[in-house]
Amino acid sequence: MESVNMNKVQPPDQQSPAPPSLPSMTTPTPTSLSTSTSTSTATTTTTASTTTEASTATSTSANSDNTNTSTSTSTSTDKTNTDISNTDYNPQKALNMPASFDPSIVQRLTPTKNLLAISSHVVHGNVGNDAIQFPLNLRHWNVDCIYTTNLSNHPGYRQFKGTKADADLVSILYTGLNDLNLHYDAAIVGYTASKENTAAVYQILKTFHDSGRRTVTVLDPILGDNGKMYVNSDLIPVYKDILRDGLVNLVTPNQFEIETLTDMKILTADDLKLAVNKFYQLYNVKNVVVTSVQLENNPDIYCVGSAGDGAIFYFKMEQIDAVFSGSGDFFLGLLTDCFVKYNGDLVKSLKETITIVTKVLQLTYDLCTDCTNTDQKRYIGDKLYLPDLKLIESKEILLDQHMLEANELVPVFI
Amino acid sequence: MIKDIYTGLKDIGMHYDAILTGYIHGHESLKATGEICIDVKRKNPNTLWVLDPVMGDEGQLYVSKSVIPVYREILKSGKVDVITPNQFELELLCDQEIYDKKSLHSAFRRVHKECNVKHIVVSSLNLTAEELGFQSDNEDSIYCCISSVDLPYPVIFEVQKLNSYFTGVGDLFSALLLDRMFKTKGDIISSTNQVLSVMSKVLFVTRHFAYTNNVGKCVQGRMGDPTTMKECELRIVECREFYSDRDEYFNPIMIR
Repeated sequence: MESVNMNKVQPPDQQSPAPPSLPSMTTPTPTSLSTSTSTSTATTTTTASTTTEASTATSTSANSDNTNTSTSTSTSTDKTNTDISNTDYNPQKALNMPASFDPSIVQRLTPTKNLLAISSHVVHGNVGNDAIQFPLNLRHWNVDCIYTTNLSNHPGYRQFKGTKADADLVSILYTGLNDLNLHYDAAIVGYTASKENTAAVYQILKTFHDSGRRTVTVLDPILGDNGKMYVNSDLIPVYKDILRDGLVNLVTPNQFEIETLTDMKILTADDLKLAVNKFYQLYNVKNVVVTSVQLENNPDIYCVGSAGDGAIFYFKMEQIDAVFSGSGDFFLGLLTDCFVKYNGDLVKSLKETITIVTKVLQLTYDLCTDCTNTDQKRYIGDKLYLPDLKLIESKEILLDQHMLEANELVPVFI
Repeated sequence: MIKDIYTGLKDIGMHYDAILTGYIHGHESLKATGEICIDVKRKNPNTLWVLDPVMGDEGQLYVSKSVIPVYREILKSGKVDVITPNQFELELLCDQEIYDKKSLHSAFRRVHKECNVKHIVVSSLNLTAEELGFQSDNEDSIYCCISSVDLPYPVIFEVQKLNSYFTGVGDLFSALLLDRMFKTKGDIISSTNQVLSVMSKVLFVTRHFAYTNNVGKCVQGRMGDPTTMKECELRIVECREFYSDRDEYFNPIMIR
């Protein structure tokens, strides 16, 4: 931590022959100091010893990356339009950027859309909002998170510290946001943790619905998985109210959740069809996606969708031989992004979402199986357990907005 | 609560390469934070700890006064690598006013000596060039100033003063500085220069969007005004591609 490149520093006192050399002050360090600066160092040294004091701040370039050596500081003498309350204010002139900076970059930057995400938070790991925020930031969403938990990590680690949010936190925070008159292009509801917070979600969704401004709302009615409830059952009636009152555009139950919400078991393809139809009879939601459906005597896993037009379709999911945490939340976030991007085209949205999720899970699997440390590997049944999705490592996949492979995915209509 | 969460992280065997501490309101949380970070450093002395002693700005304190002695106590541990106070915060830490070069020098000396901090980066110094002992043609400047045990004298960068308020500037500054210090293995001058360069781009973009969103009229963000404050949130997501830039726009000037 000690390396310092003193050669780049310019003394203000031009009487001094050259910047001080400091071999005694610096500990010998590896070659971390950039080679690109070595050429400009010479320039700086000689210029500095001849410049007049008044111009020291602006006349020399300490930076070889900078193609224009005459205006390398941010403080050039262009003083026009510094009054920004002036209506003729031109931000490109008012900020003295160096000539190497291309102001037209702002035209190429993608404006963001705003998303409200209500879900869990863990300090370490990528579940809940932590599986939604980073990927969606990369995909041009400004993500405002309301956290329903503050845990050190998710329970998949078999131990954790921290607590659920207070029952009125969602309501309090949303009131604050509402007071600012913020508009959200989309909202995601994931793990809500309590009946009170779910009721607050009902109110929020109702506000969006009644406002007349378009907010695409997506609900993952998190109840449990693989036949096991992991929330209090008093949440169920609140979810039912939300769904019945037509407050969401898209709902993403898993098999257990749609079974619970329709009060029937799905064992066969016919059951599945029946359950989806029953869901439409009971609730007022246009788009339904059932994530991970597994039928009796069939090893395949399906993702099932319907856009409320009577047609039900499915994609056969590529199976990776491992158990992941956070993949459902990650799926939810991406699906919301695609659903907005493709204007509610559910087939197209699912194609892209499934393609990306599969790639990220595969990368997570590859990175974890590559690691040599076998002591830390855990198994659930005979499957490798991977507690953390490798989202940062998946950056390039997540940045891809035109996933060509998605076209290869073909929905099968039932 | 903070300690409980940290225990949870420790229990699952977390390892951290760097720590960033920022806004902490009360002395109890701060004390807990200090203990946690010192524990992390004890286990791995190479962990880089950047501490932003967020306490206030321009003479106004926005945390409880009781945090000041706790910050001093934490710094005395000698485990903090970099601190990023503004002028007011530096004054609070060393309990002396800064009004010219001499008082600045003595403030730095005190923090290095008494508080045992390696690098001090003052994100904004409201002194004139004259007070700092050199000449500049620019009237609207503030100065970012570095003092380091590796440097014989403080180094300053002249930065254009913006006539509006942006939120989160200090937080982004500290976060980026942590990253650059980690990547340059402790080259404080280059790191600060790169961070200032990224910041100038982010501010450029933020101002541009504020301007275009208000149809030809740039808002002048004021504290406490929701309509203009919204425009003065940094455009963090839009500016994504700048964060890895290595440009060094600024001229380091040594003040003796």
